[in-house]
Amino acid sequence: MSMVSIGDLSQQFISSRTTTRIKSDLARLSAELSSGKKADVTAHLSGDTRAYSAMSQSLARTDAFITVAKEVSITFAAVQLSLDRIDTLRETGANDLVLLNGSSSEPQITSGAAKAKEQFSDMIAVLNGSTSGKYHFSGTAVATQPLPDAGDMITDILGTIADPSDPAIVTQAVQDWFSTGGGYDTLNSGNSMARDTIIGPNGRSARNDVSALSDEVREVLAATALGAVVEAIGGSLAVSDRGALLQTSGAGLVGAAQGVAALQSRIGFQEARVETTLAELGASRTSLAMSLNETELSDPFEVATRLEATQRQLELHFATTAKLSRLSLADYI
Amino acid sequence: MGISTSLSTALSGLNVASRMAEVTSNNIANTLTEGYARRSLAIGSTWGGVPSFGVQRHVSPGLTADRRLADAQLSADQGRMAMLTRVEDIIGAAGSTDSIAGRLAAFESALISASGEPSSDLRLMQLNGTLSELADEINSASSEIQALRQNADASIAQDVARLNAGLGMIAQLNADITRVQTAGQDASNLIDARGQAMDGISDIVPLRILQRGGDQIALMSTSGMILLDGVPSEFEFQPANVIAADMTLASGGLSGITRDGMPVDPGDGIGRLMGGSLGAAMAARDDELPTVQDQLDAFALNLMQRFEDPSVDPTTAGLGLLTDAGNPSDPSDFVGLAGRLRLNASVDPVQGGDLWRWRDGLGAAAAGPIGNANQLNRWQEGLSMATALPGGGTPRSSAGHIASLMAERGTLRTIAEQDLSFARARMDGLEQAELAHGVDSDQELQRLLQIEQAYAANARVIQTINSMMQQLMEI
Repeated sequence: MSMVSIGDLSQQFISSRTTTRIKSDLARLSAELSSGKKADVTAHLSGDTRAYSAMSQSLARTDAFITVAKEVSITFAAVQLSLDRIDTLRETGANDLVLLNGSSSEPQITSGAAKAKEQFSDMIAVLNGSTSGKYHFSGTAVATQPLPDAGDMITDILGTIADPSDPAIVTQAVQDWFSTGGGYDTLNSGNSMARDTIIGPNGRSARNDVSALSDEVREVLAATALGAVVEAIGGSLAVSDRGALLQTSGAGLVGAAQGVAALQSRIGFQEARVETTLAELGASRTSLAMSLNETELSDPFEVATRLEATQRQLELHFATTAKLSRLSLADYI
Repeated sequence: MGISTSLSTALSGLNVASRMAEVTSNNIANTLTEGYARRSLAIGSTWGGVPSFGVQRHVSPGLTADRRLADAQLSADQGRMAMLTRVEDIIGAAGSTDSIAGRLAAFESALISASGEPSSDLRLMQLNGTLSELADEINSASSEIQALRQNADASIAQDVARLNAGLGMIAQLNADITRVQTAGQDASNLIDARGQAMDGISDIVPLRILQRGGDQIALMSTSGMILLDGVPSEFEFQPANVIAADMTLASGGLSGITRDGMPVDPGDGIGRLMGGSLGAAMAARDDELPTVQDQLDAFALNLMQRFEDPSVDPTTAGLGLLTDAGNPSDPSDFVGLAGRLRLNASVDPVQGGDLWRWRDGLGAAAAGPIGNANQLNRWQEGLSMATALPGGGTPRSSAGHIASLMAERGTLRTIAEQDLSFARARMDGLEQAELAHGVDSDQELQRLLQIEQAYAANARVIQTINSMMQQLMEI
């Protein structure tokens, strides 16, 4: 009796394998639907995940660059504001002092000298400005106030003047004091190091190299200080000499306009670069995020459709299994 | 005489019918038994009766042998897949933040942020935090790889023990079958049991079955090592208590499989026993996992060297931000470096270092101006500059190297997944075909009906002959 028969176990085996397979598909699809992400991105990319990894890393770095670039632009804005203020003071001083000369009256000269002293004091205050404890004009020594009190500086300058009655000596002493190596350098607690901040990939950086020790700042301070020194010397100088010196101070302030403008344009240039970089970083961030989403996220509609189909398949499979198990010769004998 | 011959013929028919009923009921009772071969009674025809030639087992030896080989392949692929999946998790799947790549990205972001505000102690402390987390992640990856090697070693020991036990049982069953057959009994159940024992060890080593006379078998691995021929082979294996990165078979730190004290293969420790789960575990322990460890070590060395480069930190005297347990890197010997990576204590205030060294360099004599971001910028560049791993290869940034390693592991895993699903499909197909030769309860019931009929007919014949004899007696 060689009949072809099919063992019972083979039917059960196939049936249980199928149930397991459909159920694991169901589990995977519902996980994908609820998390919104593909279950296995690596398999989706066939294992070549280098570009995807590079994109995630770029995104993290871009976010950090955006934060830093914003911080740097705030600092630059504060420095630019201070330079504007210094320029205003310079212009006011220039307008006031240039009108005086050796033949002006004493009251005019005295009031001019007093204004010069105040302007010098104001300029020092602007240069000593800070935001949240960080000084703008100290170079990299940001926790240290760059300049001492205006009065102390004038006293120090007076100390270097051998003969306060000689206008030539006074002029030269002020010039020397503000030159490199003079008393200004000694009393300055900051430094002239440039502050470089990396704000973008490939080493793109913003540079803040304006400090109280910059040549242009020295120039405008020297011009103002001359007026303040004249006020401090007072009666030791002849009235006509005082008038002449105040006029020289005014002329110096007019001449220093170019320097201050140069500083403002340097900072302005850096500000513009930071703005451009921020715009580029923003665009780059958006496109990176979009590409990452495209790779990682699953399409909810497609997954929902497949889930429906799998559910139906499982129901059909259960119905078939039930029907087949009821078909047995034993029921009919 | 005619009538008594008919009686004995009818009796033999009855006997055969009842024996067939016994076989059929045995079959139906064993419908759910895996490894049970469908039995039938072999009967002949002679004048004067029905001789039965014993119980026949219906098997398809070719299918069974193929299925056992597929079992070994499936087991090996499963082992390999599990290992590769774990390694992918350890190194980090693409896109996850809790991975070596994620921690490296966090450290780079912290560097960028600190460069924007170098006077902030908070941001410098953040650098310490993120860099030591990176070092920790690399350390734990290394120790987890060694733990996987430990698991592989333990599973080799288990498999060898199972193999020995299985071979012993098969040898025992061989002897029992001979004994039972010599006594004239039916040894089908023992043969089934022997088949089940072979199924028990077919996943360890791929088996080739050699028929010896009288229902005896010998076992051999498909690569040619005799496992059982009359006498079972006994294999030995010494598991290691703890496995470190520098312990290998070649160095003598780990053992291979031996038989009667002689190694089966001094080169790879397994020789001609490979192809099943035993081979996969051995390959994992001695080949694949040490490769991953080497790749991790190379990445760690490359990272250390970036920080030790004088163009990145001019003040350093050889020690960089990351140390080899306090020492500088040694390109000639960096096995297990990934497990020894530490943050340089001189930048960590908790370990007695100074935060300002982040700004001024590791070997700086004194703290400099607190707004100076130049050294922080140089460390950023150090991480992005393209250098090659020790041993050559494409120069990449540090992030590029780890992404490359992750991509390689991901590709290996997806390929192994495909291999596994193929092996599973093949195994399923063969198993189903083999089970199709099993007991079909509908067929058995049908046969039972026929046996019932035959029994009834034979009984009727006996009744008729009996009544004929009675009639004879009444004369």
